Amino acid sequence: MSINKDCILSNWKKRLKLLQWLVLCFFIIVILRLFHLQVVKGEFYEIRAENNRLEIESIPAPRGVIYDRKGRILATNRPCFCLLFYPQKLPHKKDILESYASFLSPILKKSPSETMFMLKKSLVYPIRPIYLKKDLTWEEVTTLEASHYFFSALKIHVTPLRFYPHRSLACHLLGYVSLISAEQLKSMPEAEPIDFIGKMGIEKLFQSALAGKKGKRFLEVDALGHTRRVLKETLPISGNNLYLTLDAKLQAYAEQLLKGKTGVIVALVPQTGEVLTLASNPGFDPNLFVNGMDKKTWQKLKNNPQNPLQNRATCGLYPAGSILKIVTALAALENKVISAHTKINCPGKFVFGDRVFRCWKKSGHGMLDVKRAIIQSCDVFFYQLGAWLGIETLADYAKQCGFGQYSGIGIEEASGHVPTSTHKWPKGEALNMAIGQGSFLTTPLQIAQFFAALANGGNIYGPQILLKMLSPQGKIMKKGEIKINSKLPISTYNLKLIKEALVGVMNDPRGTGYNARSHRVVIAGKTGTAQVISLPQKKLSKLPVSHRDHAWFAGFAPAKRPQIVVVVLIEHGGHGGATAAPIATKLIEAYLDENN
Amino acid sequence: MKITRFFLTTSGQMLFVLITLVSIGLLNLYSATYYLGPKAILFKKQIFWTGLGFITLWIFSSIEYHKLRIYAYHIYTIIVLLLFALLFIAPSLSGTKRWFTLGPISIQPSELAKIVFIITIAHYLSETKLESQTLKVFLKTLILTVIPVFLVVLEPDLGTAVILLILFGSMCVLSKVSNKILLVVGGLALAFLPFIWKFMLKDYQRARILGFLFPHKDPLGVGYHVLQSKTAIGSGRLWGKGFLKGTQSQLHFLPEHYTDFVFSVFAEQWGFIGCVILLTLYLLLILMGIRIAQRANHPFAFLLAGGITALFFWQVFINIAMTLGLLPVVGVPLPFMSYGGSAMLVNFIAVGILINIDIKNWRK
Repeated sequence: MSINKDCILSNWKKRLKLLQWLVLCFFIIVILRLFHLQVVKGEFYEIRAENNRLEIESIPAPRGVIYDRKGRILATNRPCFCLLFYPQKLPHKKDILESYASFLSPILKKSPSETMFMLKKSLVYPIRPIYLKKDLTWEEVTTLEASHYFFSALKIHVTPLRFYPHRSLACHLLGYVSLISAEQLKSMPEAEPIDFIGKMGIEKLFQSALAGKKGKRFLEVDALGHTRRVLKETLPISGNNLYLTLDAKLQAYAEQLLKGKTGVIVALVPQTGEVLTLASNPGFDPNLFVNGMDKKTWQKLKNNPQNPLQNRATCGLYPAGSILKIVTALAALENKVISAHTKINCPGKFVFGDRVFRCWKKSGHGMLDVKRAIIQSCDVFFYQLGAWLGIETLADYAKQCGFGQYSGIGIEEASGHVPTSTHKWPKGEALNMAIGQGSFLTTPLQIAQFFAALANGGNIYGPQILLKMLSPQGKIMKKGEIKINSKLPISTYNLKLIKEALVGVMNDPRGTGYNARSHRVVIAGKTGTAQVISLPQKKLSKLPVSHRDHAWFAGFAPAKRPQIVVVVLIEHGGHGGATAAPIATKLIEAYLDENN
Repeated sequence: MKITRFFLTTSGQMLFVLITLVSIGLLNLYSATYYLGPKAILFKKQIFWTGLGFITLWIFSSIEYHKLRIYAYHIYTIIVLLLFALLFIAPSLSGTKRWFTLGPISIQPSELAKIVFIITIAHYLSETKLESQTLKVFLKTLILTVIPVFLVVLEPDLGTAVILLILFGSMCVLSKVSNKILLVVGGLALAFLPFIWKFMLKDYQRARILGFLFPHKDPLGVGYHVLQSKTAIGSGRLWGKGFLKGTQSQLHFLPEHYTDFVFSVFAEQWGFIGCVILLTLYLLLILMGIRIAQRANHPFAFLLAGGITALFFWQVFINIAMTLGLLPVVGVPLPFMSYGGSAMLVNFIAVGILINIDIKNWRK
């Protein structure tokens, strides 16, 4: 028995060696693995551990406030409770998603299935937080806060949201902010998907100055996304405040005058090029872009044939009509094609080759010098000048007067179109251009720029919209600069002559703007009536009023010492003297009343 | 003098290793739970269990271990009945029925089953008095194994079931079940794997294994545990982040960090150096167990010591390999490190029996 037992034991114990080797092997495997994880890849895991526990939350910086020249607020911020959703914090489990959906659906006022669909969509870009709702009520905030522990992927942010208190006032100039797009996000390394950035106008032009610097909060978080403590915090720096050259009161009045019409009013300070008014109607409410709009509203805005999003003052391209006769007269005088006393007979039509060009007054104006021709806006007189000057000279002078090139205002603008000499034009084109028809196109701002130069003695100023930029502490960061783009190619004598003619337009009984004259101030100006038939805007031509002409007026006042330049354009307004000029007179009177 | 001499013996050294391991374990548990607030009570509980453990160690090292043979089947029956009863009366804690709660303490019969199982199998196999076990003996042992395994799987406690099966295998190897049988049974087990996969495992268990095989597929899902554990361990680098300086474990990034993933907590704080020291301690414990088995003068003592050593070895290996992402996640505790009263007691009993056998060996 005993021998048997020992025999059994010694036999069994042989297998113990096997176990021992197995143990050693496995320990070596474990140690090698540990070495691999901790020493070879240690740094990699250390970084990962660090990322696990650190969360950087940015604190939005209040955007700079935009004021008008007298300190009236045009764009500011309002605190807003926003509900943000961080998809990356949501475990990919169906039941959890469902619990989120059922929790959120009453707050979002959507059905659970719709909410579910929305949440699922957001999971496609897991690192991109989205705004679920803005402007939470107190009740909603408390509901959300109370359940925060269970729904850690939801976060309430108190965000300063852009607010335009006067709604559509100067909307085209101010522009708007809206959520950053995916493409912009790629090009801006600092930006986050929940940032608002300027998409148009001043907001876009001064985006970096207005935006300020975001603050950062370094949080220690656990795996459930709950904040344990704040490690570090840097406070946000507000954006710079802007004071525009705009006169909000005048702008509001201009927009009121445009009500019900499609058109533009531009007003500049002739001596500096400061923009006082830049009204374009119809407009839009920029708050819509901040708060987000439903699809229907957006479609309505986008597909509106009147195109309310377009800034007609800087981007709208129009034939200048009779306004351009000033350029033609200027070119002819400077080129010595005519003198101040050269008289041309207007029989009501002008025969050029085998074509007949008609004057707007069928009976004709009779013998006219250049001054009278401007006052009565005689077409035949300027056909003759066009024929004498030729398209190239005319185009050259138009360019020297600032047409066909960007004014440099900074916001969106079109350059307009001046027929160039490289192109082979039919002979009649010079005649068309001489009266502001044909392929020549301008923006209302360019007209204003040109008239400002006439008013101030020949300096073409780049339009200026920034008066000053102040840091949040009130330090002046930047001042508006007067910028001379070029000089009008005109002698003092000829300029005086043209100015006299412009005064005559408004004050001579036979002047085209006589009916719109002011009894309080001497206005100098020029009316214009631009034919629409050659307009490229086909959509508009479907409208019943579409065949009516565009009504123009450009002028300045007081004529002796100009304080304001005004350009009015009413699309399909008919006759410039009847439609556009009275509006300009009202605006000029209002401005001078206010400022004298 | 007597004490000095005692510490020169294997059991003396074993006691030294044990005390070191238990101290490390307590410190580590403290670091894993101190910030939990109300859960810091876990640390105090563990101290209580450790104290109780040393008493049981003293009891089991001084009794006549042959008495265990006499009562082997009785305690086996009791534990099987307990496991059976557990399925009906235990409260369901997160879908599992593992504990009996008696006031402030709860007992986990499946842990106790491990040591009872070793004693029973050692007794049964040493009673055969065969040099090499026959198929009949093997099948009977298998039946003794399958009953508790089946009950444990129903709880469900996959970890314990795996440990019991591996212990069964280890003890069969040690008691010289012929190679033929082992190979055939191994082959059959492999053939049955798909069947087990389909019918025996629960969804979350299947998911765990899938998560192990493809951890990057679903980093926030099942593979999450392993990924976080690896991050914790790896971020410890060579020297560790220092005591109480672990960030992964303390900020809940590590799930189950005071039970199954307690090694990750340790590795994060003490780095590669600390891990090597800890592993060396475990290795010493296991090698000493092997030495005690080697010196055993009775087949029962041999199988008992061998089985207990195998228990320590497999638990240490499976647990650490799991935290390192080398094995799928199964609930196997790390001896003397993981929180758990029953496991603590069982480990102390096991060491007590080893010391008991050792003392009997050198008294002869």
